Amino acid sequence: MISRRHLLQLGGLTALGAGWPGGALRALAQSPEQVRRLILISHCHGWPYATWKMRPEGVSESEPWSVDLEQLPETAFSWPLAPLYEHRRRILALDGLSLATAELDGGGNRHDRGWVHAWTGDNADFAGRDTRSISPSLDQLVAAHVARADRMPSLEVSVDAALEAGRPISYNSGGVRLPAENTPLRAWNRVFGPASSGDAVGAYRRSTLDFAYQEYQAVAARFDANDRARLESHFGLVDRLGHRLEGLATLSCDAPPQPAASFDRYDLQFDAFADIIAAAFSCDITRVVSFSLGEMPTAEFGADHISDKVHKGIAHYIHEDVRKHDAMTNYAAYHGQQVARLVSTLESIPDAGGGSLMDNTLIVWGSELGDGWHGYRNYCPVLIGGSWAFDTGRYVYWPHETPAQMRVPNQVAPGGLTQFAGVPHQHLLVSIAQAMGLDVNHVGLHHAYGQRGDLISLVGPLPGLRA
Amino acid sequence: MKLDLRTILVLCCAAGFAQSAAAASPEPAGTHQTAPLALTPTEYNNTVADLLGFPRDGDLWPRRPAIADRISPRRAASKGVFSPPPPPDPWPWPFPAEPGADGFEGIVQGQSPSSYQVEELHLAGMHFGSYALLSPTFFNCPGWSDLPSAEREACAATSILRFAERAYRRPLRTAESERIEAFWQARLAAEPIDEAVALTVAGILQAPAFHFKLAPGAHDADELDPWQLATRLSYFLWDSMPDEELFRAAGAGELETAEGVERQARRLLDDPKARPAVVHFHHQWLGTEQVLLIAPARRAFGPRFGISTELANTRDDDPKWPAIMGPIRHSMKLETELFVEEAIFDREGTFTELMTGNHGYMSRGTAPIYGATAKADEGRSPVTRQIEYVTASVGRKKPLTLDPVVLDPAQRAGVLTLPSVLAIGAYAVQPGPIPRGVRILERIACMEMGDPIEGVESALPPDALGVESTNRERTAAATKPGECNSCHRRINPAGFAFEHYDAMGAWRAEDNGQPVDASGSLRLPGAEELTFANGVEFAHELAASRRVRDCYALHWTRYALGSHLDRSASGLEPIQERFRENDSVRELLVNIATSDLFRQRVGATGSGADG
Repeated sequence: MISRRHLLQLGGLTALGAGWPGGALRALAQSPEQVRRLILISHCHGWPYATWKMRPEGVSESEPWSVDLEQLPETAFSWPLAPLYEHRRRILALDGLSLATAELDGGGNRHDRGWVHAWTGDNADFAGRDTRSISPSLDQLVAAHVARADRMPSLEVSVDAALEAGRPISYNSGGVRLPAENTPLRAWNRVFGPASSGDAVGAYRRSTLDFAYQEYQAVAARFDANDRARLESHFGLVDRLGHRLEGLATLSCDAPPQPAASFDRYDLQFDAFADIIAAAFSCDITRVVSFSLGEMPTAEFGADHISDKVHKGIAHYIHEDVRKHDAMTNYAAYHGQQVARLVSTLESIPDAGGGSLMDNTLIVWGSELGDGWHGYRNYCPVLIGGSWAFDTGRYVYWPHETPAQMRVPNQVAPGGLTQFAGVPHQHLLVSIAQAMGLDVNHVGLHHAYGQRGDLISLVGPLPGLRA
Repeated sequence: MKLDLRTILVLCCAAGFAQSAAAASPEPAGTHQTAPLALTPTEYNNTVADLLGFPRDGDLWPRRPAIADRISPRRAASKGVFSPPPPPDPWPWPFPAEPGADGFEGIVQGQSPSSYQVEELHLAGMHFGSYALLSPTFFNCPGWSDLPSAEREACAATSILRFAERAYRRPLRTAESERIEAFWQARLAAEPIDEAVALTVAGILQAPAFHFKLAPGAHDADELDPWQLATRLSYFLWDSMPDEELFRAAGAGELETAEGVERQARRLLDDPKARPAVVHFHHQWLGTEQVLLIAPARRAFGPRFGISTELANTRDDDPKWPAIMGPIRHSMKLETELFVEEAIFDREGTFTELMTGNHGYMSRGTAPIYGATAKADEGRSPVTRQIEYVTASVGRKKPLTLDPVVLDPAQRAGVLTLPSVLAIGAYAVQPGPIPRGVRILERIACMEMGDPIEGVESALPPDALGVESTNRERTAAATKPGECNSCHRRINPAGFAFEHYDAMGAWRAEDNGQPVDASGSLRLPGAEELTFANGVEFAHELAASRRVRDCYALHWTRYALGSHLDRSASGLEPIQERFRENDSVRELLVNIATSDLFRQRVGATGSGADG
């Protein structure tokens, strides 16, 4: 059990000030195996690569390399990565990846295509009334593996403080995007509400599940063993769904205070979600979170003098207007600060099995695009944590050698095309899935063809990450 | 006052079940049942529409009742980047697809419950339970909401039991009625009456007797009892529950003879509900719903639709190709449905017609694929449907009109030369003789080809423009090695037969500047040798093939029984023999429905399932 005083001694939570009422945050009894947790964070409009990348002296552009971040001074960190300097031993900054398959996918809007590919590794499905995926997203694959049967399989949240909301990044196995809670108060209600209110809706729903399960029990004896097993496999899940509702309703875990009904700043909304995520992890309510970051208001990162719209006022013009490129650099750095605060929060809370929550968490900070121009070429995700599986504390570089043509502005390459792409990001998805315990060798697409007909294998993890 | 539900039932129960319900049977014990097949997503949605008396068109349902959000609120959803996510349609419920077996849903070997499916079934039950309050058929008394309290409760109670009998597709057993009554009373004691009704219906819609097509188990006979037979028959031919007439026939013992079953089968086939069900089978047989996911390359086909091969580096150019492809995909799917429906219900209705007919439907989008050889057919009517698809991040509903056309019989023959079937057997640039050939062998000729050799895709010819030689020559060279030949000596000719059709299904006389060679011969098991000059000839040969007709009849029989029957299952041969002699698809379905296989439990036939 972790006392409130202990929490405060450890640094407390980012936005909770006086800590949580109720005296204690009790980490629940953990299952014997070590709990691993995953957070996917996805922001809008990618990164301005020229100011994101780091090039320590002596490195090559044509050979893979990595550098130990703990050996570098803070001044050697790029501006968007500098906020993570304090957590440098935990991070893997990945330079040389691409969303190549999004370029090769023929349908839809480049944003939609990007976020589906980024987080499912597969093509998008534009045939219906809503953009769907063909494969489930990475968080759902992992949730199916690590979630407790009596708890919330995953939590989907989204900061939607400006014109454009967080992108839908979480897709179930039916290809349908999972709705994300976009206000901290509603997320709090979903995560902690039933525990405090004896939720009538939960009781309603439970009553119908109980009826269905009791009907099964009443007829089960009439079936032979094979048929009974068939029915049991279905109604066992019905029963578990009821227990999940009950499990949340009877959870022995003190909730953090309810967040405000609304926030006037993006930053505060982010931190409120961060606290809910930390508490949900500490109480083992869920082990998987997808955290979609909608556009930040330009005033929050000091670009309101340029435009009040990030998307159409700034992001699209990063290759033709240096002021806007600089603004998107600040934009990425600002998100870096937010991610760093989430890491600090998770570091401040002891885990039931020893260490901190962060020691048993892997954060994947990615995006929907390579850059705000709609490019897929330079995709720059950062892993934080996951040191049980990865050799962290490094900046890793791979040259662009994948035979897929990638669209870029004419200023970047004559004709608007490069002949090669970075490493397809599907290999990173495989690495993450394997780190979370899944026995898979591909996520989403298995292979693709470049525009010249070259076969591109998407099987296997990203080389050079393993511990 | 809470009324005794059983007392009410005896007084007021529905006509179709009056006798049986009044004499509700005791729970039998220890009887052997057929394998419990779950309702498929299609069957579930059709069934709730029929149960609640709403049409199979969500646009014609009333808006989701407010009570649905009281008993099971939707989770708050964030808006998407450019548009809010759509609110849930009243109908159908978007269930995850079944894993399926051999490409078909509703097969016992392909049904595997998942947490996600169970969650959706639960949410769907709560959603449709609320719709009971708006249903034009649920309450068996007029003006329910305005009745005095006691009468409202009485009416609700009888309506619930009548609903449960129809939902369970058979008379309720005594103990079942008691359990429903207890659940209803508990809800009524705790909640306002409208919520109690919705919750009780929601419970019924999650119960095993609704979700699984269970046998009543009245006796341990080999034959299905009439209620179970009625259920099997209606889900076979309608993808939905029995109607009142079929319930009546079951209750009157009319399904105890083959003649009685035949009479009902013919009646069901004459009903409009049979058309989408038969079309649904063919989508699964051919895999043509996948056409909504095809992604031909703009760099190969852009000029055919009036745009350049390359994307200009402007955002305005970005959505051009997706905007062209969206309607084309839906047009191809809808054409497949119209072709199959017309062939089976409005023309000769034969397998030959299905495999060789040259009537088509063409939209503005697919006109460049068919070209000038497609002639307008004044004798048939255009068809317009509202189609939804995503453009520029927003789901839009737009009308899609398909005009009837007559296609050049030298270029098109039946389902296998529909653009949908050809396009799903293609890569982004080049047609795919290997996937096309595998489909012919596995789906049309019921041959088991097994898995390709691990890593073999690296040997495939590049899918690119500007390559040397023809697609046939490149594919033949890549599959020449000895370890490939054991399968590709059959796959290649079946696929090369369609080399006259490019990756979007358009006819081509030349490939890479050389005349297309689509000729070949294929030896099928059973010593049938098919020899052909092109895909049209091949389709005619397939239509007449004993192996292919047997395969089609096997697919339908498996689908009807919901079991992956072995090809040698006893009872199958008479069905196939009659279909060889008379290839009327309607007669095939009637013969299956009246067969011993259909009227008995699968487990009692001896051969059983092979999966």
